[in-house]
Amino acid sequence: MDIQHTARLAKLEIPEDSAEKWQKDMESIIEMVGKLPEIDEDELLLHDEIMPMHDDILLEPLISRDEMLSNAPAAKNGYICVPKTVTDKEHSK
Amino acid sequence: MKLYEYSASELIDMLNAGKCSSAEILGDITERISTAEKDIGAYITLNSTAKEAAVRSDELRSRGEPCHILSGIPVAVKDNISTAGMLTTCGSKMLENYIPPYDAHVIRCIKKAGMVITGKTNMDEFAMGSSTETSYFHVTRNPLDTSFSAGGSSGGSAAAIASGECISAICSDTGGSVRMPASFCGLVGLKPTFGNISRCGLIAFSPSIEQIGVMGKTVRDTELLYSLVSEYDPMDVMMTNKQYHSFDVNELKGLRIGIPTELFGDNISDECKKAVADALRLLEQNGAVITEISIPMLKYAANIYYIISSAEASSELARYDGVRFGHRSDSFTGLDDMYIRSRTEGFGDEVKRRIMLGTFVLSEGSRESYYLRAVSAMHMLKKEIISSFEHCDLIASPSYPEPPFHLAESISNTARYSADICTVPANLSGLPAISIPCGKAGNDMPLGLQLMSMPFREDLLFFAAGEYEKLCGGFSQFRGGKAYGV
Repeated sequence: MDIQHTARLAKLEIPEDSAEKWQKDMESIIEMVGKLPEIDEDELLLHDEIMPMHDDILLEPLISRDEMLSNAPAAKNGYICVPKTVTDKEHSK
Repeated sequence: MKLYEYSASELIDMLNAGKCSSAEILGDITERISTAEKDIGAYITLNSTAKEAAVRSDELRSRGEPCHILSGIPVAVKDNISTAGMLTTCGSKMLENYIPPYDAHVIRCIKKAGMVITGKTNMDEFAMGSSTETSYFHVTRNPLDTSFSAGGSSGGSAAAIASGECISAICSDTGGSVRMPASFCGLVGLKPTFGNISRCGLIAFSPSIEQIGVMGKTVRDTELLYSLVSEYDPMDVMMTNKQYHSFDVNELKGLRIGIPTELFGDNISDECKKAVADALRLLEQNGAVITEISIPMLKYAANIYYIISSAEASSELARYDGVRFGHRSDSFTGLDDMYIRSRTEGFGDEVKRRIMLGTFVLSEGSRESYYLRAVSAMHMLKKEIISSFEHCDLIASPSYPEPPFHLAESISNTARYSADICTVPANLSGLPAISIPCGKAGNDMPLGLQLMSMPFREDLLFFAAGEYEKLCGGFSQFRGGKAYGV
């Protein structure tokens, strides 16, 4: 396991000064959980166990937009505010 | 005797006989919270509107209007169950200020019945842990001896009941989080069949295995609360519309109880084995038939559990990115940096470990050797458990392989994870399981007996647990007279 690669995928930051400890901890956990029974290749995908899709049924919203937005860290005029997602450089391409 | 010392069933009788009011029960509990809470730390948030609910229940009763049997009984709620207008933090800095705009289905049930919510109880962060020490807010101490852990992740709920800071509690169980703290605090804890209590409004950790469960002082208390909150709810697509029927068995004679050798081997402490064996002997003397069974896949249960639950957690917890709700970092340089900083600041180490493990087992090159193998092994485990019910009606084991442990004990992550061996099989197979007190360890702390049954046979669990409760002389002996224990 490459701790920094996994952290990047998980959108977490592991400080360099504790990376070695994290690496060791995670490796011992992975070693533990990796002890699994041998399973035949054709049993791995479990086609017969796929969950059925449920119909999406539209219900009248019980929660107003303002209520929904009340937990957003930043909101304005009914919208959630986030930092700029496109830089000027990318925009001009 | 103070009113918080009684069970829910006793209080119901007293309310019906006019011997006390709901406001008086809440008054005693509030007073208890003011003296015990500083040493116990059971709650994260207290309900500021509890008194109004108690008064409302009293008014209904005094007018002779029909009211639910549990009306006026104080109940605590684990802090990962959504309560409209009341903080719901999941024990995490990430949700420190989160106020849900709606009630979970179970909360709607208890409000409709007129139960009084005392507050939101402490828990391991995002229900990941078994000691309630990973909570961002504070540690919860065991009311029977405050140097011990109350267990986890629902340690706050168990400590609240055992200290008289509430009467019953609603909590969640993803790998034993109701049963294990119940056993540490001398209480009864039930994880029902998967799909028997709506999870609508439960903040997700691992949706394919987690369940809302109930905790109480007695088997009857636990059953009453279970009957109330297991009402059908179409908002949880996994919910099965099976009506719960109580007790269609009425005698221990011939009831077959199987002991899996895999949960009775060297991995279980002698004290726990002895307490469970003594309890089963008592049931046997009264007609039950004890048989030895073998479920070989059980030895992989904890490994399977940590792969599947962490994989699901890594996906479920991806929603905490500082955009729609939860913690957003104060300083960042762009959108991606905002995600990373918000998550790094908002999650504690145990949650990060699970997210990283889940990310790893789902990542390219690992998915087949870890995640898919674990899913396949989970199905094999379930098949083995179900077929073992040809030889028995119930499966018995200790609720936890060791006696309750001290707080701040130095133990490796893998050792703590492996100790979930007794409880995780019920989650992985969707079966119902109950933990009841069955003896005391050398350290004078209670030990738990776990019983598991076929899906939708909670009635069998309540029956057998209730019979044991009568035979052993009640469960208050495991709590009463010890520190804050009631």
